[in-house]
Amino acid sequence: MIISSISMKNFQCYSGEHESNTLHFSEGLNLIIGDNGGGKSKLYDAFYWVIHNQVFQSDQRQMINTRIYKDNLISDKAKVNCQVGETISAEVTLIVTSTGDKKYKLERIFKAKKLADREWESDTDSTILISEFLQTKWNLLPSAKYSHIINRVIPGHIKPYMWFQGEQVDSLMDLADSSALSQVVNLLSDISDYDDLISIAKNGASKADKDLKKHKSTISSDEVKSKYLNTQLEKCDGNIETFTSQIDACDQQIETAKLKIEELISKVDDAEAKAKYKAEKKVLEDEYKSLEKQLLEANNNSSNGLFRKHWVLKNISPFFKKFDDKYKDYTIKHNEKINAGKANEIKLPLNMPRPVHVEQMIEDESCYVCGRSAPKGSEAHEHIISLIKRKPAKNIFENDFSNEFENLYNNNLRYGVAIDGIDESIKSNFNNIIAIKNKLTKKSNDIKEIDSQFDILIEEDKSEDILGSYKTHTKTKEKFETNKTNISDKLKFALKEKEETQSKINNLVKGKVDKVKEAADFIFSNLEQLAKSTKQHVFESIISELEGFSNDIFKDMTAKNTSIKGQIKFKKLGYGVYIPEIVDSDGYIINSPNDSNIILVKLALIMAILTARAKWSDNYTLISDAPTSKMAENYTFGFYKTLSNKFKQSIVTTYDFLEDDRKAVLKNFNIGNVYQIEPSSPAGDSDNRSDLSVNIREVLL
Amino acid sequence: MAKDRNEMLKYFLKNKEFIVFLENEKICPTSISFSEPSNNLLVEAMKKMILSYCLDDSNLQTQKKINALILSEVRNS
Repeated sequence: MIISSISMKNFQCYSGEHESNTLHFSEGLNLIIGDNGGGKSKLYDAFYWVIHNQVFQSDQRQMINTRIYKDNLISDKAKVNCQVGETISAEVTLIVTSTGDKKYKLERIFKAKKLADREWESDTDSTILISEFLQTKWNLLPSAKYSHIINRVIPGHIKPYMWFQGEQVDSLMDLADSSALSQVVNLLSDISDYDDLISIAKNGASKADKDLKKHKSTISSDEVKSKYLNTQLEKCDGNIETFTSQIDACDQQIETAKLKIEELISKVDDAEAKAKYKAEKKVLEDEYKSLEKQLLEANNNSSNGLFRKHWVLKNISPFFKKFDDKYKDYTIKHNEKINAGKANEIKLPLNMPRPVHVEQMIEDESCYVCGRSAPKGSEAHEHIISLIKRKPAKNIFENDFSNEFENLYNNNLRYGVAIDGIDESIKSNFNNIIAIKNKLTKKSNDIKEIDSQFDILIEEDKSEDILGSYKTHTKTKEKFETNKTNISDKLKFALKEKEETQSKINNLVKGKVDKVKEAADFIFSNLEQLAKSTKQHVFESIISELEGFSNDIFKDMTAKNTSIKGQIKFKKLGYGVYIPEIVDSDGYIINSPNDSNIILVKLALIMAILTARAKWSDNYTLISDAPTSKMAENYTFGFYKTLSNKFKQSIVTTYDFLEDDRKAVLKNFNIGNVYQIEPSSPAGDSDNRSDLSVNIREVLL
Repeated sequence: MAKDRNEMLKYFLKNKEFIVFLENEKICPTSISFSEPSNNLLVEAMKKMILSYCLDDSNLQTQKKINALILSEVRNS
């Protein structure tokens, strides 16, 4: 929806009929320029009132309802001119056009009857009417359709980011509120869908787990014991959940304390010493992190070395030697047996000469092979007979494992070489670990030393507040670090206990486990984990996208301003908790940025929210009352330029372009309509509200 | 359909933990879609969960559909 026009009748300082108080708008940046007290805020009130039935009460810095504000809504001039017994009304009419070119008119009216001078009988509340323009005239819509139309003009959940006053920007995005970004992410995305999926999978996992436990109990060799162990298991799960959330809470506290400490550091007067301290500490911390990585790698090498470097074979040399000796003995005996067998072998092959010829030789008592006689009873005759009785030669070995033993021997030779270097390899690895640990200890001491130097710096700082707060936050940080260590130990113990209990339960199972129940338990618990990690992934991508958008917009807004320092960084405090920070180019928090810098960063954040995924900037109009009021002059051009480029339509009141030379700058922007408004009083006294009206003049650039 | 199932699946397939799981199972993430059935039960169960949720089924209905899938897959294996 695009806002086509707004008109007011006797609404606050806009006295008179609609015709004299009408502003038309088109796409791009629409500007209403006016000095302080010129009616800018009342114009913003008119937009707000027609939609939300509320106006901004600047004394109380809050929006208040018509039912409370009552006849204060009506122009003082109109009230003065009203005769006793007459009824007058404050009215605001908004005409909006949808993307399909449908036109709607939203009118809000509040009436009051003058009973006596300064005595009014007003309606309890205002009335809203919404009409649609059909063919040639406005047709009143049924009230059931009103909320739908209003929601198309500005949906309630994005209203705070889309319609705001300059003085509200501060509270719109509280940089110290860790939940502010989570709220934005919830608005920007369908992340709550993943909460639903987590809930489905969690309930499924809980039921599947219960079913499987019950089933295992029924096929357990000791049902009573199994039930008892299951109760223990549930206790373990409860403890694990508690410890995990306690660790998360500690992490959050530690990170918050660190932020506070960093903040205090930036407040210390001695800038030079502070900078030196920061630089040195950063180097040391980077080195410490690098050493931690090296240590992790060396520890991993130790685990991998067990197999990759054959450390598992340490001290196995005597067994290898014994096997060597036995294999040599075996080989000798094996060969001896083979040779003995060969000696016994008959030289002539079986059935050679053929049996028929042998029988003939026996009968003839003569050997046909050598031609000599072989009379009966002679050794030669007996030998010829033995040829008939010959049987096939037997295998020498019933089971021959010589090949397998040979393979084992060859393996021994190969590993034997590796075994020789094992002691040296283990020694070298552990020496490396010890060296890294020593370096870590040294770095840790160096960091402590720097910290103590900084403590001295803090002590010397004149501000007692800083010293006190610094000590408090340092103590808090240390306290939660100790707590975290203790809870982590408890968590480790609970995890171990769970594993042991689970194993005991499994050992009691005697029957066949139902595969469907087992699969359901596995699938649902994995689905739960998967839904949780996907939600976290989605959350982090939105945060990163938002950070990128914010910085792009921030850079755009500050493109021509070299004095602008800082960028927006979303610091992770814990699981799903981020806090926006303004940091310098080295990543250090800028804790004393000036007001305009903060406002600029906040506006960049708000615009990033509006232009990010949901593309609200394409569908709704941004309306803001003096958003640059707290901004330094040279920042405002960047802001308006960005606004005109990023939003389909924006309506902004401002006092920045009162001079002609400044108005000329607007020609470079995507500008809609520009109006100048100023209070008008025939007596020339704008403080005299009983005669006040507003002159509206369109400015042609 | 109230929600975009393909959009949701896309985010699941960008999840690092799931990518590691798929690598171990030798499944290419790009091969996973609602039109191509997978041989992996967890992948099919995840698709069933997203699909049922996007059809605005109640939580109980979604769980029942996943349970029916598990039953049929285990019995056929």
